[in-house]
Amino acid sequence: MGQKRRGGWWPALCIGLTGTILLIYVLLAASNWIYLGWHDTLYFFSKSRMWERLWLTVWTATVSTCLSLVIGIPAGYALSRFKFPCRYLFASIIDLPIVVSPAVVGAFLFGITTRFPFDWVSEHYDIYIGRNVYGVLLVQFTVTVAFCTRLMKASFDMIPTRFEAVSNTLGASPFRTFFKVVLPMAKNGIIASMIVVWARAAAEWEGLMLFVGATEGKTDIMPFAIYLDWNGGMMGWVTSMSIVCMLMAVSAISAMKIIGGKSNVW
Amino acid sequence: MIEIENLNGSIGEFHLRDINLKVNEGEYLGILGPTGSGKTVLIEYIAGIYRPDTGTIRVDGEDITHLYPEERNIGYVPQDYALFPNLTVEQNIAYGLKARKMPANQVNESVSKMISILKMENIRHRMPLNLSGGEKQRVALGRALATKPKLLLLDEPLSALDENLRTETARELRQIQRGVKGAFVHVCHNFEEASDVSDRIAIMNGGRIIQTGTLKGIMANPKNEFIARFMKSQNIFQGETDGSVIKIGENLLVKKNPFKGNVIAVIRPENIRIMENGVNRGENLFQGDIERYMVKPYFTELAVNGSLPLIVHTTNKKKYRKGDRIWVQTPAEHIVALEKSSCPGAPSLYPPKY
Repeated sequence: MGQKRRGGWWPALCIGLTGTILLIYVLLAASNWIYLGWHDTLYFFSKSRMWERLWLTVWTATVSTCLSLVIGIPAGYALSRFKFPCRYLFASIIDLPIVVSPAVVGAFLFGITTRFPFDWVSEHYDIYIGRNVYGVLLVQFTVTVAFCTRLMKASFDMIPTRFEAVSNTLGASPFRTFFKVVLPMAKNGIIASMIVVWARAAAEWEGLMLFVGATEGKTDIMPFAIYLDWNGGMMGWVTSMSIVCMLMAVSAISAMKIIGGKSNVW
Repeated sequence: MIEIENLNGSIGEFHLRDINLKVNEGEYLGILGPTGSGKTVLIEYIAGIYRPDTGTIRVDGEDITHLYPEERNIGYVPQDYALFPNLTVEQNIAYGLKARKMPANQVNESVSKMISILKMENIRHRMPLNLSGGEKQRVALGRALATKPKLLLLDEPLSALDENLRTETARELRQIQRGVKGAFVHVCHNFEEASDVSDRIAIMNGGRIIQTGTLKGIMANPKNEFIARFMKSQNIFQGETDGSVIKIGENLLVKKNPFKGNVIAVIRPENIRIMENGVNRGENLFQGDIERYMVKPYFTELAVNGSLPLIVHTTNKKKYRKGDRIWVQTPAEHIVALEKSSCPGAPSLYPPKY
């Protein structure tokens, strides 16, 4: 037997307003289709340029997510568990990506990458970080690493420290405890966070605009490509890529909700 | 043998003060106290989860005060058991052994032995999520005992169990402890539970150990008013004494005691005799009317309102009614006189409230 539902004008108003959000997005998608039509939209999906842009977006977002995780997992754990100098400062910094525009990050990167160690790397290893795919990766990583740390901290905060205490009393070192107890327990939260970080990296645009700039065939990840094609008046491309971006976002959010359902990361 | 000397520590606003405690080999010690008295914090200090500000903890003469928990060989079972949810029962029990890098064949042997001792054969492949409260408790116990700790700390291990299962599990715990011949420290806030398992108990309040001893000894000779109240001595009076008689209001209680001046008199309700057939000869006799009675599972509690209002426990055999006039006697040997200074800030206790 389910719980008896409460009627009345107040629940109806709240549910109605929730429906408005859905309506807005349906209208957005529908308006583009109405403008372009089904056949033309599908036509652009057959173009290799579309899939190249999608592939560039997927792999750069995946690599930058992996790099973010390498730092985000231990950093999130440190912020969740250990006391150290400037802990509160770090805890505040990881919240910055939520309030500061990625354009600020892009602007800062522009000044930094001409100096050590970036200039040293480009000189000795012939890896130039700038208006190329390395630049894309650097911007995505810089924007998502703090975001990733924030989510990892939330995942670890949900695991009671008692489990670690018990593991230690059983003779396990903190290192073993982390890999055998904490990580497996945080698994759902980490996967859910990873998806959100990946989606955030794939959607990065403002930082790229400032630091990398738009180079056709080199740095045109999906959101960036939409901007380029919009300026070029190619509405067919814009519509098709917008649909792909929407599908990617919906898939990522759904996956996060399903996998991380019990972890309440978000 | 575990010896704790002058242990002091702070966690936020909470302070553990001047803890002195000894747990002998093969002894089962109960730590009792009201909520927030510091019982759990104390065992967390012993386990090494927190570092004390001052004081020492020794195990068999070795100072372990500054060792990490993984270096102490002290087992710890928290209140919610903290079974690792990603591991099966068998893997949970093997966890500590693997952490100590024991060879695989010895791990399997030890795990099988522990499973057999704790009768867990039918649940060995189950995940913790699919276990009942009693099963979880056995697994947590097995996991801690598998590493053969010098001391096992149990934090309210029976609190999640229902009344019947609690008594049965308490008996089992005691049998296991005798079987492994280990020293156990069992934290609880119920003195019936402590009496079921412990050889000795320590009572805590406000971050201090107030009294240690056998349950019977503490009940007979509470150190101060707090202990008397905690042990459910419901008749606690403030009076004056000349060393042989305690004057409570207009009432006189014959009781030799080493104090003079202000005193606290404690009388356990089960030590008060009801004089049958109107017999009213002897010392410390009081007459009163039954103001209230309450039939409990093993006794009847009477509130007798007379010149000295008393709570009396008697058997359920005889039926009493409200308003019955009875004579009661408080034998001098069962009256405990406490020096007033041992009860700082004791409120006026006379007359008591039922």
